[in-house]
Amino acid sequence: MSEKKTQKNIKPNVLGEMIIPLFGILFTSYYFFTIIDSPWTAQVNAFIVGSILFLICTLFFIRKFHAVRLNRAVCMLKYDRLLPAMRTRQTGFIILTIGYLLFVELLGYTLATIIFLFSSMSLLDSGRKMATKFALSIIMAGVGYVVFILLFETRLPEGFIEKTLQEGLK
Amino acid sequence: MIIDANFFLELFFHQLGLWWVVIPSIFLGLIVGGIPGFSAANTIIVLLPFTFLMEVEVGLVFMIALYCSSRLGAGIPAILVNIPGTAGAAATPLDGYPMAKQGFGQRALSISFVSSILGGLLTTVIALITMPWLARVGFYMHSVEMVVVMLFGISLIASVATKDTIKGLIAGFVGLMIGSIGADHVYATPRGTMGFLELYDGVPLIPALVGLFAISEAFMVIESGSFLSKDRVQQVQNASWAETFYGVRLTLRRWFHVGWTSLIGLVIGVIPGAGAAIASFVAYQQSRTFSKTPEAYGKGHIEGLIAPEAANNGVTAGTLIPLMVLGIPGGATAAIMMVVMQYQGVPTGPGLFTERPDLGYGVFMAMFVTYLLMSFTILPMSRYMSRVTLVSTVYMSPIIIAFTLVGSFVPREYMFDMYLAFGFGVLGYIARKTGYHVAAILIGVILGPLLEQYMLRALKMSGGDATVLFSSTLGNFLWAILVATLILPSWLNKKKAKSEQ
Repeated sequence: MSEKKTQKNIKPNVLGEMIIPLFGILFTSYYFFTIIDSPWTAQVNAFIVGSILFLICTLFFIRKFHAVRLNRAVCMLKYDRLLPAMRTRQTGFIILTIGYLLFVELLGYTLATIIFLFSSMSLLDSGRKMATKFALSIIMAGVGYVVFILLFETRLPEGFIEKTLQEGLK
Repeated sequence: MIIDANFFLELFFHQLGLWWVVIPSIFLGLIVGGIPGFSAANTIIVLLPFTFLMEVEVGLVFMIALYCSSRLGAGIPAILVNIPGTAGAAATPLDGYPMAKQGFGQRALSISFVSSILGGLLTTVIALITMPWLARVGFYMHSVEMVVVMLFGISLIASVATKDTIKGLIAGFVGLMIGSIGADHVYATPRGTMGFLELYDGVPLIPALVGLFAISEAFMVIESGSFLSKDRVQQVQNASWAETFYGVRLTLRRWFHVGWTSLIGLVIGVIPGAGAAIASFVAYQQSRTFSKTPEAYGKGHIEGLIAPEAANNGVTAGTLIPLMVLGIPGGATAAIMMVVMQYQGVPTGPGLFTERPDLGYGVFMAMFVTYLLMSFTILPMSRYMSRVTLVSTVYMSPIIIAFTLVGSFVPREYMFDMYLAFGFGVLGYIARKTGYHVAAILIGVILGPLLEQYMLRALKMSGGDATVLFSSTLGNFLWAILVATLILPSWLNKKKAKSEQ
């Protein structure tokens, strides 16, 4: 019984491998939809490339379906592994990155970067050496401010810190 | 003015006397080359007012040194943390990063520096000698021939996917479809843009590069906690200068490989519109094809690192030839140089070599001097740079994300590009986790639009007749080479296996 269970665990789960081909098929279908009434010059490349992609994905699905049918692989959404995976630091880091992107316009580049760097470093290191991390976050955001905003005059989102520093520099 | 050996010798020492411009420009170039989103072109644009204030000769030397060193600088983060600084270095991490992960970051940097410097020196000398003939390459390379050149690069998709060809092809064709986003080249019909105006010009390269390599890598390395395993950490900590010299020796032993891959870069660089990305992919693909150990590519093969680095530095001399000889800029940096020269009243094209030969030949001599000075200034740094891999991912991952997201914002200054980079990051992360090669996706994104552009041009001119792709002698010759390079290796392998049996 336990041997059977181990064997079942060893079998690769093909569901993850399906994500990229499925994305490719969905995107290509949408792309075809946008060019259906376009002149041939807009269609020729996409129809050639897209058709080959459909063909390769079909072959891939057949291969994977065959592997599942022969019991060499499984195709299932493992909730028991998915849910703990959602609670990892990696997921937290991805969420913090999304937060950074959402708040950078509101808070300005420098403040948003300090918060992002400090919070993600603390998250990844379970809150150790907080003072070092805080200092490093300020230094790195400062370097970014000098290089990107002062030196190369990039129009990064401005917030409270940038406006105060600009006033100070004037 | 008599153009003889004395003239070139004088010119060499004259340019060497400008070391005070060259050396700071080299370091600036290393920095801007290493940060994704920045490049020599946009740095020169930012510093354009300063170049107008300089003497024309000094201004040109500054731009040349910046241009050459930024090419080399783009390879450093590509090797150490899997983040190519520019699209031209996109093929560098294929073998450079695995070397760094094995604890040979210092050696990999040394190999990259020496092959870049040797490639740059060699192609500069060849450019000086063969300028009038090389400048005409652009006239013979029409859209039909360019379609085949692009296919050389795209065929690399099959090479990087040696583990699972079907997955490699899926990744490559998904990349090609993503690369097709944007208005079509003839009637400007929007295609696959999802309503985003920011995508009408196509998918911007830097967010794709940053997302697929840097952001996905930052998400990946958190799992391991370090770029290196424990025993490799010890190896990097104990590495001595001997490791750098060993890398130099390994590269010098492969001088012939450096030579022919840098020549690929030179020839591709001469073609207006083609660039370092195409050159490095084609050189890598060719290097793998003619290698005795193709199966070792992608796992830290020395020649797999030499090829793209030598080629993308060969491009630097190539892009300047059409500008200097014909007055046609071969790339963005060359176009900016033309603006500076015109502003200073210096003619470009054939007149340059009769009216101001010191400037015409001086540009290439400045390039030669830059590469020469780089060997003394940059090579010793490989030992210290490689220590980046020792930094904990706790610090590196957030810093990589913060800096590269800004890098994706810089070229167009759209917030959209930051979101796009994140989107590509998620795509790259899923691809890596499920066994798809992100380099294959990127090759499609970079070369797909170029292939479409040249193919459409050829088809449009022939009224939609596809046989036009086989209508030119040079094109057919290139087709034959392409087919041969795709078929020959497997045929030779089969033959070898049979004879061994």
